[in-house]
Amino acid sequence: MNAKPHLLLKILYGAAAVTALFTGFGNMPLWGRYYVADLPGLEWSGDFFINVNVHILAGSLLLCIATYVLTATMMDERLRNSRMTLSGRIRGFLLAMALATGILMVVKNLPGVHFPMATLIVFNFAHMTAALLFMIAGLLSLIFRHPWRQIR
Amino acid sequence: MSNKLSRRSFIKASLITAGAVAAAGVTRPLSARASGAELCTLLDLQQCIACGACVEACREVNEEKFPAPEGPMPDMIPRNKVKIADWSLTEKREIDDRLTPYNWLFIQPAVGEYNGEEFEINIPRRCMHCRNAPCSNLCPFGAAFTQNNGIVRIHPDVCMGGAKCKAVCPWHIPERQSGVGLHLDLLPQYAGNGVMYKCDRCYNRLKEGELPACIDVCPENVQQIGPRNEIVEKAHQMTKEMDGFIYGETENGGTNTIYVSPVPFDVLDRATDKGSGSPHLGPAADSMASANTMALATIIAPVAGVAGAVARFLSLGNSDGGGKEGQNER
Repeated sequence: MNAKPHLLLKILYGAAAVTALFTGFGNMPLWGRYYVADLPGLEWSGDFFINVNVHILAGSLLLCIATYVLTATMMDERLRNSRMTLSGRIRGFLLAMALATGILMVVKNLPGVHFPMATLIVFNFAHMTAALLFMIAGLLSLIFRHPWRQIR
Repeated sequence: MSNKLSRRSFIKASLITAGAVAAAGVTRPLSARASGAELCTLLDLQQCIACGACVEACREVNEEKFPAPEGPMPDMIPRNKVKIADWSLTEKREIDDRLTPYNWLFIQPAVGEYNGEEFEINIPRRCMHCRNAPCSNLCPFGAAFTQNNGIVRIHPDVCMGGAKCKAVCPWHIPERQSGVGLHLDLLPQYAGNGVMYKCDRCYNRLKEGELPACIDVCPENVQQIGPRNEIVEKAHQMTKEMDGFIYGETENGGTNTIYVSPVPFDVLDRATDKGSGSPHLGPAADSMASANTMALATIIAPVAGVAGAVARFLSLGNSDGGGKEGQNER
């Protein structure tokens, strides 16, 4: 496999990240209040059930891409010739945090699963903080063209 | 509150109350209530005479939990989207014929005709305490939560008053009081709008081994509380005996409030005044069903990721022109 990510993978990653962040803000709830749900084509963002479903799907796609990349890195020795940059490591950590806490929130929604309030607050705020910092780190990397990985 | 009592409901209520008291099955042993088992209430609607004792007791014992706004309401932005909900004025605080932040239980009358007979049924309405409550699941801040004993609560110190819980509740139960809560210390004009309030099933009294106030004071023993499986069994037994109907057992995927009535609930629903603060008695599909189906995606995703990488590795082998790793990944 080539160290350069496949174009399709990049498109899927970008689309999933943007959708997960957009629906994450929608879950807060912000879009109904700030007219976003009034925009043509974005009415769905004011519906909390659609929002959460799209959020879970986008998060799942990110999880799929993350496991794909991790597995590919472990299997292909040529990828070992490159190393993760500091920017890549920060983004990777924040994404992993957001995904891990996101999975816990999905588990929490299942029937018969009740977490204590203090645990819920920790999960919620850890999820939001990780996602917000991931968004900021992602934007900075995009602006300053910091790659995920670099040749050794 | 209406004190009207039909002859039919009076006779039925008297007979059933006498039977229930004789059987001493109205209240559960304290140990059962304090054990942490999933608790459920059963309301026999034949017995409610709309005396209002439950409403009064609820207000009295929960008074210390009611909102106490201080100072003027914040000027919310945007004004036309974010409406101030202020129930703190004396005349509004006293409202007891709908749900408000100061009235977590009210009696909803239903008058009509069924099978050629007139009926007058009084329905104590409050939070249903859903088994898989969307308010608790979808609260973005963890302010709404479900205890192991099935009580669904909203913590006033964490709630931002965004009213998402009200929007996702099939009965739109929680009610907002503006000008209170955590959001005042953060971005009072731009995020949040007070605190949401609803019945907390007197969780503090239950913890002490006492009954919720509404059950404790009811002179007609309209309500029972106990482990859910026992309550469901009783509800089915009662409906069999009276040829009646059940509401709450399966609605919204199952709730911990079960109503039993001799009149079908779709008839009762049509016979009640509904609107803001006055919930319906109609069908309620499991609102968390689709989100929980989506949960499958989180299981499939990592499997698909690993399988995809392995498949690609096997299909390309080591023949892929990998000598250009100098290109960076973005």
